[in-house]
Amino acid sequence: MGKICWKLFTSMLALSGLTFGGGFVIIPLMQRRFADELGWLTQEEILDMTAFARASPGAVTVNVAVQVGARMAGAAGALCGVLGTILPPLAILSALSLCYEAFSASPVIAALLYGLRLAVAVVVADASAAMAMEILRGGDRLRRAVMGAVLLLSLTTGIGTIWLLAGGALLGWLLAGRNAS
Amino acid sequence: MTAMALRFFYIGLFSIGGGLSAISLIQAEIVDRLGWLTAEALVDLMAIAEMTPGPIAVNAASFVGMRLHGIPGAVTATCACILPGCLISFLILRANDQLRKNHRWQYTLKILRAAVTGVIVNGGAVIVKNALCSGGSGLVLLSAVLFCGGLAVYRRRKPSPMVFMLAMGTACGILRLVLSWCLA
Repeated sequence: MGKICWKLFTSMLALSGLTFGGGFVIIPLMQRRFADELGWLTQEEILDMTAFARASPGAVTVNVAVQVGARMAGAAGALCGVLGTILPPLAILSALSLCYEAFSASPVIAALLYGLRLAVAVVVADASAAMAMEILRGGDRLRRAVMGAVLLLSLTTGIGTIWLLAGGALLGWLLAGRNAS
Repeated sequence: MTAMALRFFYIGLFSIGGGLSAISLIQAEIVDRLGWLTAEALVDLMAIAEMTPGPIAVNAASFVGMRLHGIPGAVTATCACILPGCLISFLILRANDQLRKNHRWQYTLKILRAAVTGVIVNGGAVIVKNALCSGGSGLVLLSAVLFCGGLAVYRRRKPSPMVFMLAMGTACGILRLVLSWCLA
């Protein structure tokens, strides 16, 4: 169990420390790490955890990390997952609150951030395209339609993601009754 | 310090729906009501949060906590801020385990997963757009070329994402630095 906790901590430390943009950016990368590379959870389980994380208040990343940790190694795992997630921003922001002016004016930092942002975009584009292909290939017509509708609505309108997800859940709940009967 | 911890616990509890709702709560509580942060510092903070990794609420809590009470303050504020979300999402995961055999719940999750994927793909699109535009209008073409080149290498060689992000990030950063020196 100590080994799992350590792996979880270092994985989240690396993901959280490198993933600019916040929110959902990190989810495809967590999927890749915990489902594809480590084989701890299935892709569906991580998607479920993401939905639960979104339904809870607070930061999605932290909420998913706590669930992955709890599932893999109980309370100790939850703690390790969360610690790994919050340490990088905690350290960076604490340091920055002391020297923000020098940081934001430095051309070297600006160039590095520019490069990192591009690199993160490449990895995220690849991972989210793979997730979409999964639904397009493996899903039925309804799931494809739901994914397309949510994507279209969030690209073109300002509807909050929480409402889009709530709508998807409601639709599933209603149609499940019809499917069973 | 207790007052600050309670404030951030409150912000963590009611920031439902992600970063933007956290920002508006911080604006209302920390800036307008308590004056722990000036409106200007909040704008700076949002700019920093854009530039650095991590959720914006965690960033804000660390920043404000550090300013008010040093390192213990930063740790306290951050923990207070994430505690409600961690507890609630843990409880939902527990409830999900109870409901596992329920057919209706299973089907709901199936549709919900498709919806979550839609949201994530949208997030990916926004990240790509921001990355391409972040270097200023003169750099969009270069950014697009670097992005496509990076994507081709990444898809063909399939390196570890972490190694790739560090390598490509540094390489593109150096390229941009050299370019700006040459042009200046």
